[in-house]
Amino acid sequence: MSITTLYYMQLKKENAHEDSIWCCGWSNIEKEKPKEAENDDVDPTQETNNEPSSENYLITGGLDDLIKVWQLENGKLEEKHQLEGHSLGVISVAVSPDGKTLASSSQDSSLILWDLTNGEKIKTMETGPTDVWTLDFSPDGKHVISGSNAGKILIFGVESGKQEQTLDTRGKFTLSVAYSPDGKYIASGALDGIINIFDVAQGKLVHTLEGHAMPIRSLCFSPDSQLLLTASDDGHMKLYDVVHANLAGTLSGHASWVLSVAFSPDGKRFASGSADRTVRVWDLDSMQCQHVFKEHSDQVWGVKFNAESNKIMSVSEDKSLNIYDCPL
Amino acid sequence: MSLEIPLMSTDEVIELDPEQLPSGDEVLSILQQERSQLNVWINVGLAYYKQKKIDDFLKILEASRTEANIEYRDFERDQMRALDMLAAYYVQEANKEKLKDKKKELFTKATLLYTMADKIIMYDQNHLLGRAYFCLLEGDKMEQADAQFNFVLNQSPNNVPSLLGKACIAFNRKDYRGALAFYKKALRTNPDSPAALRLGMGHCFMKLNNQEKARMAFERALQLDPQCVGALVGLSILKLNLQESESNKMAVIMLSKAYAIDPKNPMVLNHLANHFFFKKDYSKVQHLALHAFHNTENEAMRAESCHHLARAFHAQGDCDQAFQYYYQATQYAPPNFVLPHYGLGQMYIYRGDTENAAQCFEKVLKVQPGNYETMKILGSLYANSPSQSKRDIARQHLKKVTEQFPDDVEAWIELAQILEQNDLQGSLNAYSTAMKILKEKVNADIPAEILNNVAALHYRLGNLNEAKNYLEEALEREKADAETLDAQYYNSIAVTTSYNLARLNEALCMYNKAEKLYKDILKEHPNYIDCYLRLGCMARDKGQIYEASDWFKEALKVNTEHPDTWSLLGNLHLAQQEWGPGQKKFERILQNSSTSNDAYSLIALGNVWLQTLHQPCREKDREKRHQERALTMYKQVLKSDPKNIWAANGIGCVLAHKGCINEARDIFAQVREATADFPDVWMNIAHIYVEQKQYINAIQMYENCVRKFRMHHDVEWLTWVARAQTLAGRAGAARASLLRARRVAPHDAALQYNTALTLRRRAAAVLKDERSDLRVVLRAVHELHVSHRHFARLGEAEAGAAAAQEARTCADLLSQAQWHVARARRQHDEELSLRDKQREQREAFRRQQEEERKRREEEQQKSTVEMLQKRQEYKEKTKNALLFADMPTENKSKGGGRGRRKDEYVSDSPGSGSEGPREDKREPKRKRKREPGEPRKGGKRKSRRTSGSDSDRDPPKKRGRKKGEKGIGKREKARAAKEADKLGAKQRAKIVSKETISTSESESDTSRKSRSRSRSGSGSRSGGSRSPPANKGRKRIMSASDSDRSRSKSKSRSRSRSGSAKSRSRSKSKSRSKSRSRSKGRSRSKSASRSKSRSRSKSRSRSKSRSRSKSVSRSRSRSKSRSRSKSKSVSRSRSRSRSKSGSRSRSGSRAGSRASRSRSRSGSRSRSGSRNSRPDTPVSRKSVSASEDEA
Repeated sequence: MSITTLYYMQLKKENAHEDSIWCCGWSNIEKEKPKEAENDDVDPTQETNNEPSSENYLITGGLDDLIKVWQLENGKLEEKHQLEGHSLGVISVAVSPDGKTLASSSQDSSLILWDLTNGEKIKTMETGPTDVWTLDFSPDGKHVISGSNAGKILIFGVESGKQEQTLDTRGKFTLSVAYSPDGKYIASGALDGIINIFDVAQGKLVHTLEGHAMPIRSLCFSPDSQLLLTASDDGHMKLYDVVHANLAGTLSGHASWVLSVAFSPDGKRFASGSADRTVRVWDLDSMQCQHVFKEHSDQVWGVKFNAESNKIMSVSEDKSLNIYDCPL
Repeated sequence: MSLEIPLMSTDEVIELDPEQLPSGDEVLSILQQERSQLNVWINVGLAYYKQKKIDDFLKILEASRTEANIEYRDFERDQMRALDMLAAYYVQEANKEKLKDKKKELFTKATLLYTMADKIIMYDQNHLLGRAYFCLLEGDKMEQADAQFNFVLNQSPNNVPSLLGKACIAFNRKDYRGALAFYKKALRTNPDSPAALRLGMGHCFMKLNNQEKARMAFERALQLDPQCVGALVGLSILKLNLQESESNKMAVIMLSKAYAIDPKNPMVLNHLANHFFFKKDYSKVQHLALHAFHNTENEAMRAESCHHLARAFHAQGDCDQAFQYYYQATQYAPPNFVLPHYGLGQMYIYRGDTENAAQCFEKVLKVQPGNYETMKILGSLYANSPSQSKRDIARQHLKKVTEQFPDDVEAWIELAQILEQNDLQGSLNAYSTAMKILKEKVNADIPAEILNNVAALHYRLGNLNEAKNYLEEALEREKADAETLDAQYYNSIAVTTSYNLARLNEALCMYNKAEKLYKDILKEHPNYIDCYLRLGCMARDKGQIYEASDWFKEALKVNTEHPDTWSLLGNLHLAQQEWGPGQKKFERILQNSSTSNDAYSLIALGNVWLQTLHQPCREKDREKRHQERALTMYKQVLKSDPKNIWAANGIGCVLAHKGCINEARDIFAQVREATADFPDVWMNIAHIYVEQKQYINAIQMYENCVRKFRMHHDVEWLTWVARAQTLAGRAGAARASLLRARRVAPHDAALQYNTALTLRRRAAAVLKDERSDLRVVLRAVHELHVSHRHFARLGEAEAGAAAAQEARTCADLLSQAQWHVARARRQHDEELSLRDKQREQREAFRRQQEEERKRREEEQQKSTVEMLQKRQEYKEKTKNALLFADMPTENKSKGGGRGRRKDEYVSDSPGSGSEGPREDKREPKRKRKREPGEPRKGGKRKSRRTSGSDSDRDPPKKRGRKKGEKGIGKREKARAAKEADKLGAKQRAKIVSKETISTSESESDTSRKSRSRSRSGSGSRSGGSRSPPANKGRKRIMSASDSDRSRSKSKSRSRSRSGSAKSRSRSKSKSRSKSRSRSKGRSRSKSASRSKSRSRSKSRSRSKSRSRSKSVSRSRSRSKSRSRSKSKSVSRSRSRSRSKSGSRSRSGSRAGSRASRSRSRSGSRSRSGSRNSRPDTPVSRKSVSASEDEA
């Protein structure tokens, strides 16, 4: 299929942070209704297209221990909040499905919940002696999951602020986690390239995928929860059929580690960011790379679609935040 | 006129009719009977001679010598005549004679006769002339002849024969103008002179390049003597030179006429042979040339005949015969007749003897420096030479050729091929010129081989997309050609092209496509070993070690001795830390005789030895031995390739290990000058900087390196940067570096340890600093908590003793932290209150001042009032008496200023004293570290870490032996660092025992050391900070903490003292471990970069070998085609050199050259293809290495 859509960089915010930016999120708060937004690794199915009635926040976090909340209005990016409280670098941010709550983790093993609308800290989770790594919200917004050392996946209750459950992959360090949008599965990617898929209801490990042999730094489910997209240090991405654990495709094109992947909420495309400094946009049907953005001057740590699937944000070690226009 | 023979007795005479002479014997008897006078004999003999009755002439003259009557006046003159005549006859005969023996005989007879004549009258003109001509003909007596001619001319300046003789001499001496002058003089004195004179003039004009006059002279000669062969030949040459078909025909007609007149004239024969050569009537050529050869003594002529013969054989494909005749021709040929060399060179090429061929062509080029055909051939000959200088010559030649003939596609392609080796851009330009010419001038399709080569060049230059376009075009062309032309050949090229395409896809990161292409190739050509290797490398880069190993083993099935396969396997082993098996693989390569000097293997082995240097617990002598072994490996490489930067780098590493830091630095600096694309060298230099304590430089170096090579996520490098930053005192930057590294590798225990250490140290520093405000302190405490948690967790794991120790330290610090927080808070509060107080004070003071002023004013007012009153009173009392002035008002204002100053002092005082205690504290901390054994633990961990990193690095080594070297370099650095530390420690030990201990520890774990130092520093600082307060007599909590610390200090001291040797040894071992870790890290990174460069070099060499094997048949065909084309070209050159008549030959040659071009192209293509394939493997290695690095 030939796609003649015009991709271009809409905005580049240089020095958005004082140091490397490590993670990003995109929150879409719709007014008046129960709304959802994408969060870190899972993009819940969302059909909304009513921009005026919703508020759009971009969240970035990085090595300077700060989380910044930006508002995109009329093509301008304004810093709305600056959340302080982490130390040793913010590793991951996750936006709750309703877009109002932000979970963030840092290398000091702290996990903090914030209110995005007013920029206040809601609570600090008790994480105990373990590491907290990448985060994801459950689609019902009641839980936050995190990867951890020794292959564990930690499930925290948003209400209780406590660790309520642990899933053990018995593998290596869990670098990435994702909650399926239908709430049935949790997938995790480990340091040694092993991917585990848990059935949430039963709390059981259902699949172990061994397609990669190098660290999995990012993975995400397709909006229909049928596919799992994995990104590895071997420069490849793989698509798996979640139910049967079949390999649906292998995508190559990045010249270095793939650090981040994200599905568009409409499920037609996905984006990837890599240590080769590029952001690539892929078409799901053809499994082909549609566009390559080479706007960053250092490795790209995070990519994220907005709720309308027509914009992509990317953050990089080069301290800049880019927003690309990706018309449907 | 009739001859009269006087009769002796009477006055009668016998009259003889010169036209109808009776038989010689009859006349002879008459002469004898009548005792005729000698002059009669001579006249009779002459008459016979004129009648061409040579025998009778001879008889009469011979008889006259003895039997003639010489009893008359002036008989001597007649004697002379007889002798001269006879001698002249003999000379003439000798000149005609071809057989050397007879010739000599005749010459001897002539000499005898002349000598006899000499005795009679020495200076008779005719005699002298005869002698002079005799000398002339004898060849080597030119001077003598000249002298005799001169003598004669002196006597009679217009003597025609001597003039002619002089002209001849002048001509032979190449003084053509002189010769012409003599001829003209002779012509003036004797206008009716024979044709020969005109002929001579014609030759002179020819030589003087005056063709018109030459033609006139020849034509005049022909008019005079229609049988004059020389004139015919001369005219025909002139006509041939006109290079028109009409005149050529005329020339041939003339030549055949000359042939009819004198079938033995070699010149005619040679020219006819030449003519028939162009008519392709080779049997006639052979016949004529052979005749010519046998009919001449003249070596130049013979050379030409031989050359004609050889050419004929050459054209007929009988190369052995041709070779013989060419060789003969070169033997006969005068130095400026180089065509036979050209032909011989071609024969040598045909025989595969390029050396001799090159010599032949060099000779040609020497005589004709601008001959472009020769330069082209030489260029292509030298292009394949293994010697760089010869290749340079080739490049020069080809460049000249392309400058002279910018439309020569063949030359452009050859030039491009040479430039491929070292000037990619130049080569590309040459190819594109060639392609342009092909498209625009020749209107031909660009052959697939060229497209492939151009694509390969683009690939190497990094223009991947262009490369892809060209490759796809090439593939299409190959498909088309395979259908229409040689299916087998083009299919084989297509395989190469698709392999290149696969490599390109790999470079474009389209691994899926690449894999599919490789597998497709393997389906049809299961022996294409590079596909296996590439597939293996791709698997390895993906981290699928076992799959990679399987592919490599597949490759081994195809070829058990393929060095690349073995080195890749060896690298796999090394990456897994399996030193033994890895070593064996490389040794296997070296055992193979054909690769016994393989630089890659040698360096890899050297790297293995270097690696062993980093293993802990080695005895000193073994360490030394391994250093030596590594050194010998590198030296061996340098012997065969003095420019091998990886070997140089390795040597630098060994030197650094040995402690020769400066030498090592010099070496690294040189390596970096040689290439800037080799990150390991940068790293090594940075490491050296660290050892030399030039931390700022080191950090800059590291950071430049990271930026340049995009190693942003390389944990090891980040760790080094952090270490340098720590040593430089930039704790904040170090923390950021470590956090970055941890973001990438959160599982890395060493990293965790280091991070925790840095955090703790920083926190301790903050806590110790009494000025730090509450926010900073709180943050520090938080980080201390984190650090504690990390240490605690590390302590649970194996080898956690050090961590546990650290955890305890953290706990200590934390407990102290409470106080610090309290202090900070209090300070904060105090500051606030102080500020308030000050403000209040100021307020109060101001109020006071106000009041005072008011009071004063009041007082003043009062006093003035009083004074006024008094004055009034006084006035009233003493009217008209004295007046007083009042002074006191000013004093009051001064007092207010003093108060303000005091306030300022107060604010300054809190900050002043903090710095002194810090340094003291550091030393004690170092001691502590030694004692607890933390360094040990740290060392172990480090070693583990390093090993892990090593494995990563190892793969790079496999890929690139260079990597291994790099690793060495790193190690060396580490060692050097250790050594330096040791030295420093010793020196310090002399000064302060405690300090030495601490330094040794720091040495052992450089990164850890630094951290440990920092820790100790922080500890000491905290201690120091505590102790000062204690001294001051502040809170007791502090003093307690101090005592703990002091205990630990004392312990450490005691230990160190008691077992100072032990502690030192320990420290050393630790230092080793540290060095390992460093070195490993370095080695990895280095190896990767090295592997790249090496792989390139290898690829070249490989490509060569491949091309041979693949295209042996092709190359042969090439040579043949070349030789043919050459022969044609030769013909051209001949025609040119002799006579410009080569137009025909040119056309022929062109066609030939085209054919040759196409062939040569194909050859070149195949080559390039093969080259590409080899580079590919290296490339693959590169990519592999890169991936490994990343891993």
